[in-house]
Amino acid sequence: MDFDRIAKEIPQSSFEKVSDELVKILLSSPNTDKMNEGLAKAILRHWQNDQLSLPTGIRVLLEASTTLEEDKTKALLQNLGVQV
Amino acid sequence: MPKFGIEFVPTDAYWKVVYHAVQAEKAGYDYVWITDHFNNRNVYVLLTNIAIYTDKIKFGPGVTNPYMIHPLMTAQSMASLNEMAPGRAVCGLGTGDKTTLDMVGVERVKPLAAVKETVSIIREITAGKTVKLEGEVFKVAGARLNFKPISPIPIFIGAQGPKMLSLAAEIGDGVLINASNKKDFEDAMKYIKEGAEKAGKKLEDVEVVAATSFSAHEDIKKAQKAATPVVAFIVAGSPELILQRHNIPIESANKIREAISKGMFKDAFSSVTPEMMEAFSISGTPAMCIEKIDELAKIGVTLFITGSPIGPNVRDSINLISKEIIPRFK
Repeated sequence: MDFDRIAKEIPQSSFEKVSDELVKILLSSPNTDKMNEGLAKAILRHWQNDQLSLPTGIRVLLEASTTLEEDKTKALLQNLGVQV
Repeated sequence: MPKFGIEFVPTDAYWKVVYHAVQAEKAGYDYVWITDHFNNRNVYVLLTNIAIYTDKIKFGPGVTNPYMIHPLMTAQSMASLNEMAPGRAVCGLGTGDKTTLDMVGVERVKPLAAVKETVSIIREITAGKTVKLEGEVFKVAGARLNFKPISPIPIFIGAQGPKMLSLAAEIGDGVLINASNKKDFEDAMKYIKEGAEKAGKKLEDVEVVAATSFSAHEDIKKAQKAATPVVAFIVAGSPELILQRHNIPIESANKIREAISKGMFKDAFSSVTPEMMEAFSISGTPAMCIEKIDELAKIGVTLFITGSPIGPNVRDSINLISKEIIPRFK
């Protein structure tokens, strides 16, 4: 999946909502063993600096969310009209 | 006005717990506590990450047990954390948790002496001094850190019985009480005052901490449903004296104990009564929680910890507490 392209296609007005939904997917996922070290650190760093709703934050959340919960992430993006 | 703390049991992946700790800092909490049990994620790994990803919230083990972790190791861990985040590391310690001690096969000998000696070792070591101690529980031949610790580290002592409550107030910076109901604190305050007086301290010099079983949600039923399993375990582990204080029939508690011991959790949880919920949790709508916190503050609680389960969904409940509850006390 081209996370850079997808993150760019998300309308700016939806950043907050998408970020919130992706975090929800991640925190409720039981597949924590799939989370990679770099992504976990990047999420926490963006969260600490209030950057999870910025394009770079959404990019990181998208990759993590797809890694842990591919179907749920695809469904969320399709609801937004973003092609995956 | 009480300060606010939040407690996490690290049963979840480290990044989820740290995410919530960062959220708690943004929500206006003053403290984050991580429980210390050998069968969960390691408390100091979590606290190190919390030190990295937060900027102002205070943090510490809540609580570490000196029968499990030698006080020298606790002192070393606390001094290291305080070097990473000066002035933010606090140490919670307690000699309870019979279930874990039994599981490991460690005997709970002379808990008052153990706490006294632990506090003394931690204070001396984190002050950069050499410790020599011929204690009743711990013997230290001559130990000191090879680095210079930064500042004193506040010590909070978990207490339940009269002697431990008094000792905690006498030698600790805070007394940490695992309870949610005003009756428990009305009773505890007299021993806390006694301990503070013994040390020549004012009561205001001692933090009185309520470590509650907490659950907040706009829908009372959802809040209480989330707290029910926690209350069932508290009832099962409560001594007769505590049950009597809250007018809970011993037979009802035994029924829950038996169901839990057989792994029949549905039966155990369905046996939890509204009286048990009232005695052992603060659970309900934000308005209901505010009323309970206010009651505890009037009795003398200065630091209020929202402990497990926090709510039906931890993230949503922290947001709710941040919007509806904490601002009422700031």
